[in-house]
Amino acid sequence: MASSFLKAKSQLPTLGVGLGLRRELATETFAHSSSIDWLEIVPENYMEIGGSARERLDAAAQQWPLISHGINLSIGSTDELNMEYLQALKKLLNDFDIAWFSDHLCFTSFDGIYLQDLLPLPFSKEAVSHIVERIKRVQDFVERPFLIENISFYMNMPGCEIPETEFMTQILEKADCGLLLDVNNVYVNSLNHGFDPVQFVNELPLERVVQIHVAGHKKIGEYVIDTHGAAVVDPVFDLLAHVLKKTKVNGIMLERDQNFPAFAEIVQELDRIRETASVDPAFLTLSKQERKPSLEFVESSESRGRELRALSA
Amino acid sequence: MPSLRDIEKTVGTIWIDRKTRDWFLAGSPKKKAPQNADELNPDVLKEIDRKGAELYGRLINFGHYDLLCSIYPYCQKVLGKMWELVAEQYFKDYPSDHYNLNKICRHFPEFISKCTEEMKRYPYLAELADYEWLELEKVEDGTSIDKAEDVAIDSLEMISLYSPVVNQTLTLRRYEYPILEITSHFEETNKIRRKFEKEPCNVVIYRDPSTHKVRFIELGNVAAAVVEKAQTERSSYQDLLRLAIEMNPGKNPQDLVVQLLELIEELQTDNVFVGSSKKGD
Repeated sequence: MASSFLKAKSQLPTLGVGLGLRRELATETFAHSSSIDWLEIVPENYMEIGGSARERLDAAAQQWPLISHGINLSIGSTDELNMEYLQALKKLLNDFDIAWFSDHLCFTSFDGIYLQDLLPLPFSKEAVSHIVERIKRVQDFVERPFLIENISFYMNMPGCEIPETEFMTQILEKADCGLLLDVNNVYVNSLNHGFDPVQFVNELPLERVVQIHVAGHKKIGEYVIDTHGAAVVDPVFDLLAHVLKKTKVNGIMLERDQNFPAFAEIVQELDRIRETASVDPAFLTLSKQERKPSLEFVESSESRGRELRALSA
Repeated sequence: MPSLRDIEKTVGTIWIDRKTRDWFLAGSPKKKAPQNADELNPDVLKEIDRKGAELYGRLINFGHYDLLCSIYPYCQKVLGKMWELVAEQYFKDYPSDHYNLNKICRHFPEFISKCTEEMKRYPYLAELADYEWLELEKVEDGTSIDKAEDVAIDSLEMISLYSPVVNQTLTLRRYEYPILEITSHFEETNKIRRKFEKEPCNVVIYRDPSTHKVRFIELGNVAAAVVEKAQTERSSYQDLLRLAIEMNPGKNPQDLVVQLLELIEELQTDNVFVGSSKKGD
């Protein structure tokens, strides 16, 4: 049967190189608008939220295409899908006409408790069937192309029956959805679990990759942790280049969530991603949007609370 | 073969519940099993990677702790060394039940009001927690602030024709303790004072639509009653004047009119009132 997702992918816009909209980086992000093609948002930080956060989002939407990358859909959970969550998500996606949305191939809740972290799943046949059925329901409800992202993880779950690449492939194909490939997560997992990252990505249905995440990591004790708080290392850029030689993607995004450097360093990394992307002729179709004059963004005092971040542990 | 649900529940419990995790990591049958041990699947327990479980557990617990600190910095200061245990107990009693990260801390004022030892030591603590939660709640409040007509209320006709529109994010609290004085004290001196005398006060908390900053303003009893009436039912300025007169039977009504008009102007300037609407609109 022909994949309706692949047909949908062919009609998605090619966005270029993006950055996450983070309150700590917002002023600099707006000031460097010409270096950024699109922005990724964490929807939970904006669903039914007003004030500065909403103003920031509205201002961002004036300048860039927005893409949504969620944390708490909890697609692998055995809890019921949270319809209140899905309704709020759908409203946000509709309000900003977001071309596609994504979340993580993990679970973030059980027994109604949100762990606020990306937790690994057992690579089992039961999990495949369970997740496929839930992805179909989510796609039917939201009515926009949906991508799942491979996470970094620090322990293998009990009950694994098949390799991770087979687990992901079965889900992607049976649910007929897209892949947000996080090349840093692949690299981090390859270090923690001892496998070849190139072989890993080669085993995935790369034609389903719509978006790629690039990020930095840090060695803490015995583990390499996906911190989104350091510069991107060369092997991750190499993996990015490898994937781009094999498939066309619609957007690449730099994740930076903590330990923020001078913004010039972030711009340099965006430029390097752009250079890396240009090795693939298919990706040269990047079309930069016409820019409106940069808005002066007024930072308000959001000193309380935290933004949800796509960090696995 | 354990089910997906058994796996998620067993591993998830080990991750979030420190006592259960400590019991599991100790790996000793001598250590008394926690109450929830019966709910854990033994086949899953046998397969869990201990180091990984410890790492996830530590990170999840730290994330919760860091979040609570970011929302309740004054409570953290007040409780000092007791804070860590209080935070842990909070997430045990009120497990994270919302997809919005900050909202999982919304029950903390209720929780702390039930902590008898801490409340005995710092009787203002529950009100301080409420104050801190409201600051975050108003920052994020999804309610849109719809400004109404900006008209000068300067004649008897205008007083009878127009009603104030109350800032839609506003909450009025009557605290037993002088909460603004307490927070100012912490800000200015960085020192914790155990005792504050009871001194009831009315505080309005709302988001200023022009700056998006949360404002706290202490109001006298009459001003608080005026704001409360305007918020709970559509009331003309004349209705509010009548209320002020009722509350001040010994005062000259003409003086009260002047005072009320001054108050209204101040409330409009501070965006407690966000304009006025005409009768019938």
